[in-house]
Amino acid sequence: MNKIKNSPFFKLLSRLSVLIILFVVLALTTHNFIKLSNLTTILLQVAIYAVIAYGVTFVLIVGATDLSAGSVVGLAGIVSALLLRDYAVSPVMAIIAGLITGAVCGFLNGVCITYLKIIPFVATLGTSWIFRGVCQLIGDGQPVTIRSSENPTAAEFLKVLGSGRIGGFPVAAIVFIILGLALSVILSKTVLGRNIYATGSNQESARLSGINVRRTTIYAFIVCDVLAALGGVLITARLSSGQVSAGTGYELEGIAAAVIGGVSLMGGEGSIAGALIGALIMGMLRNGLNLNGINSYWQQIVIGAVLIFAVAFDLFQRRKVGT
Amino acid sequence: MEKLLEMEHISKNFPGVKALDDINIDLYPGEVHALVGENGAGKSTLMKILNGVYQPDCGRILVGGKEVHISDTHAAHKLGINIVFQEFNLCNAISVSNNIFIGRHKHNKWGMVDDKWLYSETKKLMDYMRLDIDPNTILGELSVAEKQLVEIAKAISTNAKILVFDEPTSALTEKEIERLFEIIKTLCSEGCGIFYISHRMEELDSIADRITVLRDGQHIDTRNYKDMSRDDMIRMMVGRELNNQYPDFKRNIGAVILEIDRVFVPEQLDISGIQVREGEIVGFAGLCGAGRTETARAVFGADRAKEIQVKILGKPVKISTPKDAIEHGIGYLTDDRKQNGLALRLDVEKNINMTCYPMFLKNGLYSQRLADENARKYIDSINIKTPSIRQTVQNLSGGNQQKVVLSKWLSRETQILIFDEPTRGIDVGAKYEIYKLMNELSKKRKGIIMISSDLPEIIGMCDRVYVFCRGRVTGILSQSELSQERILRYAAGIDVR
Repeated sequence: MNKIKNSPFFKLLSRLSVLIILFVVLALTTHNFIKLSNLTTILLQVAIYAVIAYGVTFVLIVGATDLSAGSVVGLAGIVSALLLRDYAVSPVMAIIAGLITGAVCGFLNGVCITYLKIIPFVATLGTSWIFRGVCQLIGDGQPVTIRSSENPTAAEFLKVLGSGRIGGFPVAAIVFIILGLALSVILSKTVLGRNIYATGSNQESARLSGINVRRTTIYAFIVCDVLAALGGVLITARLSSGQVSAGTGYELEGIAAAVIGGVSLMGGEGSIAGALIGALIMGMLRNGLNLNGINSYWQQIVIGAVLIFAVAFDLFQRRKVGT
Repeated sequence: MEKLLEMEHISKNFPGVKALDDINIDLYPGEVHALVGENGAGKSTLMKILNGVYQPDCGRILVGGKEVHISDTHAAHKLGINIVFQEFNLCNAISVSNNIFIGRHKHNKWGMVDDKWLYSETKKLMDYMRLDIDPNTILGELSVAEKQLVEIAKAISTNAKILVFDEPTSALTEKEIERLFEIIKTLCSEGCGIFYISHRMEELDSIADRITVLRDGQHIDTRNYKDMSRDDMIRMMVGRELNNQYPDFKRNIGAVILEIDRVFVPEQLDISGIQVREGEIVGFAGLCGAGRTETARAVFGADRAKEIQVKILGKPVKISTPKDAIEHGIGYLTDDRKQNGLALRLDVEKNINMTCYPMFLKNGLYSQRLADENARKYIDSINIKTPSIRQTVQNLSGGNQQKVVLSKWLSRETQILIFDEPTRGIDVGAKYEIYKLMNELSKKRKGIIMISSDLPEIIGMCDRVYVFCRGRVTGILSQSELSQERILRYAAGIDVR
């Protein structure tokens, strides 16, 4: 039994059961929770956090942290919005440009950590200010709004991506579910994924096994920040406007969701499914508290407590197995 | 003479394992009581009970004739019991004196830590041990051996009457071991009793007064040390006759496969003229820090050298990362499997396959089935004892962990293998298995370098030995010339005539 309890699968199962219990409790106690419109709203709200949590998961598993993800959200959102508004670029190209912005940010983060050998916390703290600064510079501190009167196609496209629905199902939710599957495959079924786990678990041992740990780390950051950029694009789409302060604090939301989902800050442990479950737990909890009229101050306290409880539970489980 | 300590009928169960079964052991003042047994025999568990880390399921402990209850480490210290653990319990970022007196600081009249007292007490201790370490040195700046000595100083500083040394010499050089033994003898003459755990039988000869053998949690025998022959001891430990500590072999040596023409690092390494042939086991002997591991790591591309010239099968190759080395067919089993040999928190399969993940791609995706098959192949063929391939390797014993490391390189089928201290900290039975595996590899015409500080092992296994001293090769010995004395003289840099 102990063997099973220690396995990643058990960890995931315990998180899934928490999610289900939370769902059932909210369904039974909270008026309006189980309504289709409310559930799809949750998915829509969770979409951005989930996408960021996916990315953060890559970086956490490789044994690093990314404090700049929130700034990348803002920067990529502004880049896409500016291209749409001022340069009449097609919406698809604008999105791709946003994602490339994310890739460049991830590459810079990775280089700071692997070649300049700065610890990830400090390196990404530094880049988070740089990226946010660039974002405010090019946005001139103002929101970049795409008006349907000026850019009808772009505005329509953003509306579909941000808050559109297919058969009642939010497009943004479809994006993060398909993305989750694809990223899961990358993490568990490719050599890159294997290398990420090996590097995060013991970097030196991975290096001496012939794994290029620098390249692996840089790739993990590129994945993370491309996903953060996608989060930024989704926000811009939702608001039909690029905000220079968009994404502030989202890196911590992403880390929290990943950790609640069982991703280890020590590296080498965790999964995309876990990150998704973590994001859903947070999203559902917020929604349930809202519907019950609990104010946002109390919501913060509850979410913080859930985070601490989740980590304490893991440590307790590990100790029990350890002795 | 009154006994310092008696442990009577001690038993301890862990889920699924009987770790200790009715153990009786005692300790007199002034004696060194050696405790031997294979890994998992129960030595460490017994000592952890003595130190209050575990509570026994039944049995009692008497200190100075009085029954005591040792609820935790603190209680053990109060009773004058202290352990020098194998793993370091020191903090790298603070000074030597702060490490030694951690938790036992004295305050001056202002309520601040009394640094003068701290310094002078530590200085006294260093003088007593004849160590040349300034008490204000930050611990992280010390060598592994010096850290081990500080750990010992810390134990002595508690004025413990009952001291346990758990493999204290694995990181020490000959000279430091001698000094440690002098310290132990002084402690004994002052009335301390000492439990001494070691896998190195040679060193027991010079200090042990009595010996107790444990096997699978059972008490096998306790005797005066001089009444126990080496053969008896090994037989009791493994529970079967071991005719030879080293398996017989017949080598079929072929062409030169690896030539290390030059490795140069200013003021550290100046190596030239090392050759390894197919099917040959070449030993690197010498003291810690003589340049053996450093040479291996440079050849493997793990560390940079200022100048390096290596030929494989007669062709010069350029190696600047471990990846290059592996692609040229070199594998390196590191000297510290926990630090850099294994990813301890990953499972057996992920570790075994770590050198060759791309081999298991099928239609572009990683095939778990193929990967598992490969892992199982080695678990069966070299007999790795693990409940499943999904077990995390930190839960395996030292010998089995070492076999996982070996499997990593067998999977990759490298033609040249460098074994760095392959049997450090593993028990006699597992050692024998590792030796047999190395012989089998030499039969498959692989070229093998074995770095070892265990001289009998070097002599028992190697066809040729390069002896290192202060970053140079000071002697090359063929099988017929091998003797402990010769190796030691070269290793110490003394000319041999």
